Amino acid sequence: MKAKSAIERLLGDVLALQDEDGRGAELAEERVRHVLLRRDTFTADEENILVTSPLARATYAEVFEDVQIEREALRHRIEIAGIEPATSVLLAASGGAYPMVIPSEDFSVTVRSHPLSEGWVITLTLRDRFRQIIRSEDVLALVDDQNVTWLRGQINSYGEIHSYDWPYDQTPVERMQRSGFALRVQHG
Amino acid sequence: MSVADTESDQLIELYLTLWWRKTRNAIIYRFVHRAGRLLELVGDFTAGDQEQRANIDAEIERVLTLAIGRPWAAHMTLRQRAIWSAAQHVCPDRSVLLKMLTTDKAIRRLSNVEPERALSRILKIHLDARRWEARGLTEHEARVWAKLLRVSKDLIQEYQSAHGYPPAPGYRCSPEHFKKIRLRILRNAQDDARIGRIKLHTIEEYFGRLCEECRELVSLEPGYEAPADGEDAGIAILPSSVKKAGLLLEKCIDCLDERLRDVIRVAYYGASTAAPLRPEQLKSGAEQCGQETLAKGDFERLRKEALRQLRECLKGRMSEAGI
Repeated sequence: MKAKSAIERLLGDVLALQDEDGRGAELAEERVRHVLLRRDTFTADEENILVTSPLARATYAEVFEDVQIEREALRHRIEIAGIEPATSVLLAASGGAYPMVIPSEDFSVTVRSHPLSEGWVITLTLRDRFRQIIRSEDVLALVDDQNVTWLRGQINSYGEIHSYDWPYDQTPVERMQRSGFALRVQHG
Repeated sequence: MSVADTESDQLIELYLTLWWRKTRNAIIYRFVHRAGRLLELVGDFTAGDQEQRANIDAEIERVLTLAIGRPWAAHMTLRQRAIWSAAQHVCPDRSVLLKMLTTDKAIRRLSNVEPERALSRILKIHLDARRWEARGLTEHEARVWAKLLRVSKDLIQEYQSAHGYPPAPGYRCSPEHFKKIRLRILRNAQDDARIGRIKLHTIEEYFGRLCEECRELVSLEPGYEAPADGEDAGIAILPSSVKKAGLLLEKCIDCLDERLRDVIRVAYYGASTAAPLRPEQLKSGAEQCGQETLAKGDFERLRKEALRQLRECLKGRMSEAGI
């Protein structure tokens, strides 16, 4: 953690003198966790509690520490498994008919036309080795080399994530001939 | 029994079980907040002086009454009321606290650890013990403890194998060790129904209650201080929006009288960039630059007074700003 500035140290000491009347208990750990995992943001009331209650800040600090440890453990599991999701660039597809499947050692990407509309269905499927280290709460994002997100979400019980939101004007075939991918794992 | 009563009872139970840490921390904050006089008394304590002992005992009672014994305010929410009701179930034992405080090196100012930090730590240990006394050990908890102990022993064994000697005394009860236990669980046993999702501070609670070494580790060794004890741990990592308070605080510094402003500049901004304390404020024989110009105790008293004034100023400014 970076060194605190003078004003941060002073603010810490001043806030530490605040009295606690129990209102800090209103801030639930689950709410803090949601915010730290970027699923939500604090409401104005919650921010107010954080500024005025040592108890709320202690809750925040505890959850923050737990989340940091969980992230570290996930990084370690990925490292031990030999998976490098941040750099696992797939070979771009050379073309072909739908469904198009782009395999890699750790996961595959399938694009097929939507059965009921003119859109597309993108499916990410994790291989067993990868599935074993990912928890259902973890968020995965498939990002191409233009930094455009093709798909983002949590895996279902089959180790898959589906997306129906095609991010480009071109067809998947056109796009996949040009793009490589990386799979980013975000602890959730 | 009305629905409100049932809900209230359930909340109190939660504050003694699942949300125990909130209850414990709330008591600690309120107690430490009011413990200035108590710390002074214990700091001056001489073993064997019965009058001093009686004064300290009376002060503990006074602080406890102020901290958790006050009548409920009409505007309290259901949760606030529940947390203070739960607090009364685990009201600290005065005689135990008296013994713990008067035998602790840090509280008696015989070590480098700040007395407030040591007091927080002692209260944490004592309150955990009070809570466990009230609830006993369930079968689930006994099994959880057995698993935690196994992981702890493995880690210590690995340390010994790697270094050729065991970890330093107190390591088993340190935040560093608890963190390593949590990491090991996340790596190797994250699907374990009993400990897979255990939280860092829950691990600490188990060790505080069930590890003999940790129970006896009352006085803090400087090397193994818990960073969150007795200081505002949340401030370093608060969301940026909350740090807006820092901007308001800077304005408050300008409102302090010059003497206190200088103390703040010396204490937080470094003596080299702060105006020296003026000679007329110095004690005879004191050096004339920065923190060294005042006796440490006097400087600390002024710093605390400055912090108190800044807290009041900040409170007002935050209220004006709608924070």
